[in-house]
This record gives sequence, C-alpha cells and structure tokens, in this order.
Amino acid sequence: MKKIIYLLSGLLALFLSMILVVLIILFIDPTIMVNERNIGWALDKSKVLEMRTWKKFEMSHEWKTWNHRRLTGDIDEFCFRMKRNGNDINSCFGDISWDFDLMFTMKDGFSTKTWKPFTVWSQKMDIALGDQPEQKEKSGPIDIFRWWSVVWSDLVPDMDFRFDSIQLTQKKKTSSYSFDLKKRARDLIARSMGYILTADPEKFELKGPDAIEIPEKNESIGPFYFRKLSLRGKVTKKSIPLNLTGYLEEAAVRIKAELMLPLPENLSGADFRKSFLSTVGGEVRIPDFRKAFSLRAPAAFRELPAPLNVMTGIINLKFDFVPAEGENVTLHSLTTIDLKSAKEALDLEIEAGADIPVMSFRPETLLIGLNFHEVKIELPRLSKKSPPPQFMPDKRFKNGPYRPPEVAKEKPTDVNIHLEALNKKSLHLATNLLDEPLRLNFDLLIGNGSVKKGHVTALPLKTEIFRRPVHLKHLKVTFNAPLEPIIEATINFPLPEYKVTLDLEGPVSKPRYAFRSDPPLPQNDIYAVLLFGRPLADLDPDDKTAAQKTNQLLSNGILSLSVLYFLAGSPVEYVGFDPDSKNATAQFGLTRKTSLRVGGGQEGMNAGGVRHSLGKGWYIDSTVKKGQTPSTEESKNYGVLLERVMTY
Amino acid sequence: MKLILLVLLMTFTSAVFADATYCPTVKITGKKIDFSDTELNLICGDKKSHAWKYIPPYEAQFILKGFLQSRGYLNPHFEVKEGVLHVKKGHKSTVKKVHVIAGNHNLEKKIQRDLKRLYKRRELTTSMLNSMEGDANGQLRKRGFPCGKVNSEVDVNTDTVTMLIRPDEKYKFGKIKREEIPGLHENALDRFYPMKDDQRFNGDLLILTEKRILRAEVLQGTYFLEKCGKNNFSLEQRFIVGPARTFRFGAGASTEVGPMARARWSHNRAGKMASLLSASLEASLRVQSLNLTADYFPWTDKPRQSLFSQIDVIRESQFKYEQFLTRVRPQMKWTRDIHQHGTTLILGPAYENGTYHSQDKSDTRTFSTAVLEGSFQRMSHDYEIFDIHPQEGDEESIALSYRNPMLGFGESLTKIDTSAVRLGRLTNLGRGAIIGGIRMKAGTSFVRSTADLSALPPEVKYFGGGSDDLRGYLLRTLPRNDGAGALSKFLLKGEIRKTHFFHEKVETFTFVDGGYFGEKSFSLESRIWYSPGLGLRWLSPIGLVQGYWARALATSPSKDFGNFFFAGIGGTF
Repeated sequence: MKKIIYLLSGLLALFLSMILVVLIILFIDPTIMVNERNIGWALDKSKVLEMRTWKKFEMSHEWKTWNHRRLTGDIDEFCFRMKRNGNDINSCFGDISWDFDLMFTMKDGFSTKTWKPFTVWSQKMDIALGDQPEQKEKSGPIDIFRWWSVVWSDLVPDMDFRFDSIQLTQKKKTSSYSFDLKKRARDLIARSMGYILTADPEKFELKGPDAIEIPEKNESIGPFYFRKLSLRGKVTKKSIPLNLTGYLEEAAVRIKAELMLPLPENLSGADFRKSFLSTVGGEVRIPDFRKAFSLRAPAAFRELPAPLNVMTGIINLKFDFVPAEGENVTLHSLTTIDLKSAKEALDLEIEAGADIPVMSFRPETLLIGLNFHEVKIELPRLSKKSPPPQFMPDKRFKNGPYRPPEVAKEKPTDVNIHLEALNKKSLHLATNLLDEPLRLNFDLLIGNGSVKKGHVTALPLKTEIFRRPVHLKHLKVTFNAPLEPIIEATINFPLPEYKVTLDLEGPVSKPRYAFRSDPPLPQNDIYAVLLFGRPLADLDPDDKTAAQKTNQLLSNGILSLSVLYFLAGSPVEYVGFDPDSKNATAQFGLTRKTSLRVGGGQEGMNAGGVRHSLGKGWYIDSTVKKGQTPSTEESKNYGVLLERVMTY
Repeated sequence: MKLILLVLLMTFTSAVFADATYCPTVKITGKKIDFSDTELNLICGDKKSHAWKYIPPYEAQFILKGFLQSRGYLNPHFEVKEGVLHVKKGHKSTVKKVHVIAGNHNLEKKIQRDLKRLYKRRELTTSMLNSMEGDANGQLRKRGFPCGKVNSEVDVNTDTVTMLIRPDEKYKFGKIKREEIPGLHENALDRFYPMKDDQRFNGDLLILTEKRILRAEVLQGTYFLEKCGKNNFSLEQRFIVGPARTFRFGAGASTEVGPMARARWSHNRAGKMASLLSASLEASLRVQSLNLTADYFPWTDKPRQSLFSQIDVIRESQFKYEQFLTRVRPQMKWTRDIHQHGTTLILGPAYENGTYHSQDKSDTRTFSTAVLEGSFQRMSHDYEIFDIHPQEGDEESIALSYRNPMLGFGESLTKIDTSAVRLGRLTNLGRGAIIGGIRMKAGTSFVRSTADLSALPPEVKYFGGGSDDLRGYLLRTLPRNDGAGALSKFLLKGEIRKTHFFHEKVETFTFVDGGYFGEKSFSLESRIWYSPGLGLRWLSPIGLVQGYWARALATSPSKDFGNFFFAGIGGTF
C-alpha cells in the first residue's frame, strides 16, 4: 500500500514539476510554446475554423525584467472561415499587429504600455446568420461599469481596428457595413454606418449620420428622417444617464433617460423595462408647425386645412414616465400649441396621461386634458338668409351593404378627454352673424366619443338680430349622461320701452321658452312687445288679444320664435285670427311707438285703432268700431283708453 | 339640316355633360348645382375672410361631400389634378329599399311598413335619414320603449336604408320625480297628467301633459328628463314657473259709453293647488260690469275636483233701454283620465236675475231664473294632443240643462245637447294618409208643445250654417234666416281628407254635411239641408287657413241654393 502511495506521490510530483517547468519556460520565453506552428497546429486540430490561411505570422517576446516584457506580433493576410450553430463567417484580415509592454506590480497588477496600437485591419468579413435562434447562455447581471472600466484599464492597449466591409446576411437579406475603432488610453472613437462614437473613461457620445430613416407603413406619407442625432452618456458606477438630442424632420427632439447599473440578466423583462422607462422623459419642439406640416404631409395634403392654414407657430411636446403599480408606468405628456395669425390664435395645452403596461404597451385608459388658454377661431361666413349647409359628410352613407360590427378581440383603449376653457380669453368664435365674437367657456369630460359630464357656457354677448339689439346674458349647456344635455339661457332684448328677457331651459333637442319683462307684462303681451315693440290690447274687455294666439302657437311649437322674429322686421306687425270670436286682426307699425290696428269678422272690416306707447307700461289706445245696438241700428263707437299693464 | 342638328346636339350635350366650373379649383360634371353663397365660399375659398381665403382641394372635397349628400348625391367621385378638384357627382339617390333590424319581428314589420310608406322613392339625404330615424324612434316611444336606440346605414350602391333598432326593455312611466314648486302642494299639478305610474310608457302622453299645463297657463313651461340606466328607467320633470298674476287697468272715454275705467286681474296659480282665478271690472256712465271666474281646487287629496264658478254682474244704461243682470254659476268640476281618454264632468246650478226697462214699451220686466246644468265630455288623448286641427281620435259630449217656472223660467224646459266626433286614418296614400271623419250633433229643447218659439231666448234654441256647422250656408241662417231658430237639431257631417297634398302642411278634403231641424221638441222635420263640397286647408304659422266650395241644397221641397264659397282663417270640422 505504501508503495502505491509512494508511486502515486512520485507521479504527482513529476506532473507538477513538468507543469512548473512549462510555466517557467513560458515565463522566460512564451514564444517557445505560442508560435505560428503551434497555433496553426492547435487551430487545425481543434477544427474551430473550417479553413485558415495566413501569409505571415510573427510573434516575438523580449525579456526586460522578470515582471516587464515587450510583446510584438504581426499577422498578414489572415483569412479564415468558421461555421458554427448555423452561422457562417468568412473573413480576411490584411493586418493584425501589436507591440506593447506587459508589466506587473503587486500594487497595480497587470498593465500595458503601448508602443504601437494593437491593429486589426479586415478587408472583408462575410457573416451569414442561420435561422436557428441563438441560444442564450444564462449569465448573471450585466455589470456594464465593470466592462467599461476594463476598456479603460491599463491592461487594454491602444487599438486601431478597421473593418472595411462587413456583409451581414440574414434571411436572404444582405446588408453592408464598415467599422473602425481607435482606442487610446483616455479616448476612443468608433465609426460605423455614419455613426460616430466618441468616448473617454467618464462619458461617451454617439452621433448619428446625416439622416436616419424611420420607416413608415403609410406609403403616401413616406419614411421619416431623424437628423443630427446625438446620444450622450455619463458612465458611473451606479448608472448611465443618457441624453438624446436631434431633429425628427423639423421637430427638435430631446430625450433623457438613465440606465441603472448593473443591468439585469433579462433586458426584455418587465422589471428592467419599468425601471428604465421610469427614467425616460423628453421634449419634442416643432418651431414652425405650418412649415413642418407642408414638408411632411403627403403630396395632396401639403397645405393645412382652413382656417388653420393662415396660422403659424410652435408646437411643443413634453413627456415623462413615472413608476406605477404592478408592471405599469404612468405616462405624462404636455403638448403646448401656440399658433397665431392676424385674426386667429390657437394657444392651448393638451395633457395626456395613461398607465401603460410595460410588456404590452397597450393602456386600458388614456386620459387627455385640453386646456384652452386663448383660442380665437374665425368661423366661415354664413348667409343670414339661408340655413347653414351640411358641413360634414354623413358617415351613415356607406359604400356597401350593411354588415354587423365585428366584435373586437381586444378591449380597445378607453379614451377619456377632459376639455377645459375657463377664462375670458379661452375660446372666441368670430362669426359674421354676430357683432361680437362668441366667447365660450367649458369644462367637459368626454368618454369614448360622447360627453359624460360638464358644461359649456357662453359669456355675455351683445349683438343685433333682425335690426333688434339682443344681449345674451347667460347660456349654459350642462351635460350629465345618461340624461340629455340641458340648456339654460337668459337673453335680454333691450327694446325702447321694455327690457324683455327670454329664459330658455330644457333638453337641448327641445328647449322651452319663457318670457318676462321690465316693467312686468303678461306673457301674451310680451310676445307682442318682443315682436312689435309694444303690447297689443283692445278697448273691448272680452276680446282675446291677438298675441294670446301667438302665445298658443309658440307654446305648441307650431311657429318658431325665429320666424316670428323675422316677421317683426316687416311693417306688417301682426296678422291673426281668433277662432272663438271669428275676428281677424292686423296691425301695422306707423312709427316706433305707434301702431295702427284694424279688425273685422265675417261682416267685413268693423274696427280700427291707433295705439301709442307713453313708456313705462303706459299706453294710450284709440279705437273706432262699427257696432250694432239691440235695436239693430248700426252705430260707430269712438273711444280712447289710457292703460297700464303689469304682472307680478 | 344635318349641320343644325349637329349644332343642337353639341349645345345640348355640352349643357348636360360639360363640367360646371364654380371656381378655378373646383369643377363638377353635369348639370350645375345651385350652391348657396356660403357653400361656394366653403369649397372655393372666401376672399372676404382672412381664415377661409384658401381651401385646399382635399378640404374642399371633404366639405363638398356633405353638400352633395344634402342634395341626394351620395356616391360622388373625386379626383385632384394639378390642384383642381374634379368631381363626378353621380346619380341622385332615392330610397329604394328599407330594411329594419330590431330583433323583434312584430316591431320590425310595423316600423318597416311605416317607413316604406312615408319615405320610399323620396330623395335620400341626411335630413331624410334623420327623419326616418326620428319616426322609428317615435314608434318605439309610443310602444313603451323609451330607451330604444335607432341608427341607420345606407348602401349608396343600392340605395338601401338599413334601420338598426335596439328597442331595449319596455318600461312603465313609474313615479315621476317632480321639481318642487315653491308654494304649491305636491298634488297641485296632478290634474294635468293623463297617465298613471304603472301605465306603459308612451312618449305622446308626456307631450300631452306638457300641453295641458301650458294651455292652462299655470306655468310658463315644463319638460321631462328621461334617464335610461342598465335595466332601469326613470323620469324627472322640471318647471319654468314665471309670474302667476297679471293686473292691468286703464281709463278713457268713448262716444258710446262716455268716460270709462277698466281693470283686469288674473291669478293662474292661486293657493296651494294652483287654482285659476280672474276678475275684471269695467265702469263707464253706460255700462258697469264685474266678472269673477274661479276654477278653485280646495282639496289637496282630490286634485282633480274643483269648484268651477262664474259670477257676472252687469248694469247697462243705454239710450233706449236699461238693464241690470246678475249671473251666478256655482258648479263642481271633476276630471279623470281613463282608457286613453280624458273626461270632464261639470254639474251644478246657474242662476240669472235681471231687470229690463225699454223706453219704447215704457215698461220694466224683471226676470229671475235658475238652471240646473250638467255636462260630460270625453276626449281621447290622440285627439287632445293636436293643437289646432286633430287628425285622429274621438270626442264625445253631452250637456243637459233644466229650466223650470219654479226656478223662475217662463217654461219648463230641458235642453239636451250631444255631440260625437271620430277621426281615423283609413289608409295611407303617398306620403300622406286618407283621414275619414264623422261628426254628429244632436240636440233638443224639451218644452211644452204650445210654447211660443219666438218668446224663448236664443240660448235654448238651435241654428245652423257656418264654417263650423253646415258648411254650404251662412252663419246661423238655418232653418230660417229670421233669427227664430229651432227646438231640435240633428247634424251629421262626413269628411274625407288627403293629408300631405303636395306639401306636408296642406290637405285637401271633400265633405257632405246634412242637417235636420224641428220646431218641436224631439221632432225633426223631413226637410234635409245638406251641402256637398270640397276644399283645401293649410296649417299655416298663424293658424288653420281654409277655403272650400259647397253646394247648398235642400229636400222636401228640393231646392238648390247655389254655390257657396268660403275662404278664411280658422274653422273646424
């Protein structure tokens, strides 16, 4: 047993001694082992490469001290072909050379001193990627800072890499690249496809080519181009803050983000996405919206539609993400639109917010808030004589037979919009129908295309309609779904003798009217005042006034108020008939305060009179009426009446 | 000749097929469309407007599509060439097929039938489609579906209208949540509601409620808010209250009555139950009168029961006569809605007392008479909902009054008046309908056979003629044109109307009115006064305007009184 132990111990000592000898030889002159012949033999035997050739292979080693060596080498015209995992690499290197000192101290560890940068020059490199997905090996967290530190460590010599042609073929698509890299002790510069990366141990900057194409599916719009791309980053132990700037067409883009280090193993996982997106924020600024639109829109749409096409100005979008519950991040964005023309303005902010799942990027709900600061829009000129035309095409007319709507596979995103305009300048609509712009305020919550809650308010307005002054004192439309929107409005008609007030209230589809006046008048007389400037009355106490009939017609919706108001513009102030008394009445305006009324029944014209307003609810009324006494003798009755009319 | 034909052909074809140029940027093929100034400004640009000066072709195309749709051109073809919008407007569409999808066979059938009748072959435009949706929705609301949704689609290739109806559930009216009116009891307005809480919803009855309140002038306005939730429906009613009282007074003079003063007061919402009160006072040297009217609702638990009273006190001092008259009518009134009809019952006495002194006869007559009166009216909601000119429904009434020497009247007299009218749609014809109407009026004053007809006051006698009565004769000229009147009358009127006669507000009608009169109670003479005729009615903005021709005829002995023409405002069937 002892013998066996002695034998085994001896063999082990011999083996260790041999390794020690090899190490000593390698330490004294590694080229004894690492040389052209041995490397060539190892490559051939291992069959790592399908094929390899080189024209020249030189490696030399110079002993300076036991811990300081100079290593030089030069390989010319090195070509190889390698096939592995379905990938095929066929490459030729014109020159691979190095010349540096390798040193070791207990204090600093290994370090190098470059006499000539490590040079790699490849004339061509053809890489054909196979269809098999690349098997990712499991690894731990990616410590970028460590790798970055390695790049700048003293161990890594200066480098000059140049790859003149890299042909990458994947799924029968071939793309060509070139790549070169110069690395020195304190700086690095790399170029490929027009991109330039410059770096030093603390920071880096990636500059893009003149124009980076961003594909667009809509062919009529064509691809977008990103210009003057600059991605700057600072590499620290904890994170890499990133700043991206450039121009997406005419829009200046600035995006910031921060990569927290170390990076997790799974970069497509929810945790990494959430932590990264939570640091993203940025700004897109279009300095001349009209120009940007004309440059970017499809050929047929190069001009903005009226009334926007006379406006020019800035559009600015700011956005950022903050962490939310679960695998969500919350997007906040603020778009500022500031467009102006000589008569118009569009100054508003659009705020958007959504909780976005980091894996699907399909938010369940999108909240949009529009805040109108100053919006002045000129409406198209409308004829006062004809009703407005149909401005919008009717979507109910379709080119094909009816098909039931398809049930959506995925729940569509709920879009909730909050519209807010709550100051005096918020929204002004200028129309030729009104003397002053219509000033609107609103606070509306729109969900899935319909207004759920809120109100629209018109600020006071003075104008003239059919030669009568009209003051819109108050108008409010209140939305409270599922109830029909309700309108409430107060309109004043400041007539010479009276101030008539029209209260509108009720569902928007059919608001109800109510009138009051100052001095107060009965409802029936208010119609007459509104239409003709004065009440209708009669000496005969049993006569139902003509305006009462007007009241009925109005109340029953037979005659619209606007038609009556239109009639009021003519000298014929009233034509009416009372079916009870069978009497017809007509009234004509003589002067602004005086009217002539004639009346008659089946027997013909039998009454006439002049009514004159004295103001403040006082009238003087004169009549002449043909009558019959009980003895059937015909007579004429002449009369005058001073009258005061009021309600309370 | 060939040359002339060629020139004519070229002129004709160029007029029909040439492009109509509206402005340098818009050309439309075929016959020129008469666009309004507003429309032209919107497709060609408006030089007078800063913001609408230039309209890009794609915007003009978008806007023009709507304009063409409003004219029935639903399938236009647009092309932009060198900045010019070329439009082929296509054919004008009319409704060819109507297809209703409602998930309820009966509903589909009924609505489809109505829509086809009303809209087939009519120009297919946006407003027409809105009308169709509105009509379909109206049908739903009549049938108890307040929450139904109606949408439509048109296949412009086949001009087929598909009406998609989601009726939702049938609902009852339920308890209506009414806005509180300060000073009024919660039951005060109950008398205006034609429906009950547990009754099936019918949109027309909401309209009728609103009309009743407005007709009574109790409030200035009211409206309902309908709330449709998931499997529930509720109604809320709001009111526009307005002032309740009116007062007017005046002073003056006239040649007939000398110096005069007049005051009128009315209160349309008196007390907790919104009673109606009015008073008018007139005073002159010749006439002094006071009129008080009240429809007073004292019982909060019986909101449809009222004291309906009138008091008139009149003193006249004319040149040839003097009279003093007092009339009192304290009566009870009940209203009720039952079986889709509104009913009104009025019962009570009436008292009249007066003195009359004639200068010619230099005597003074005093009279004092009491009358027992009662009337019952039954009117269908369909009939009541029409404001001026009913087109369907029925109405029946009976009125009784009893006078007796013990109550002060000269004779024992009972007056009975009945009337009935029924209007109904006989069939649909074109865009309108054929409406058939029949009206019967029968009345008699039952008095002893020896009573002197000429001594009886006019209110207990019957007359005929006029646009509301026997239409071939002048007002109150039958049975004799001497004011004597008759003691019995039977009138039967028949009318056939065609509504939507070239215009939806115009109708044509033909009629035959016939009447019997009798100088005795419950007795009619064999002579028939009758008048066939035809005419035209227009539901104008200021009321019903009608004109008719009638031939005035009579039998036993037969006599032709000739043609009678009437044109005027007002008049009923």
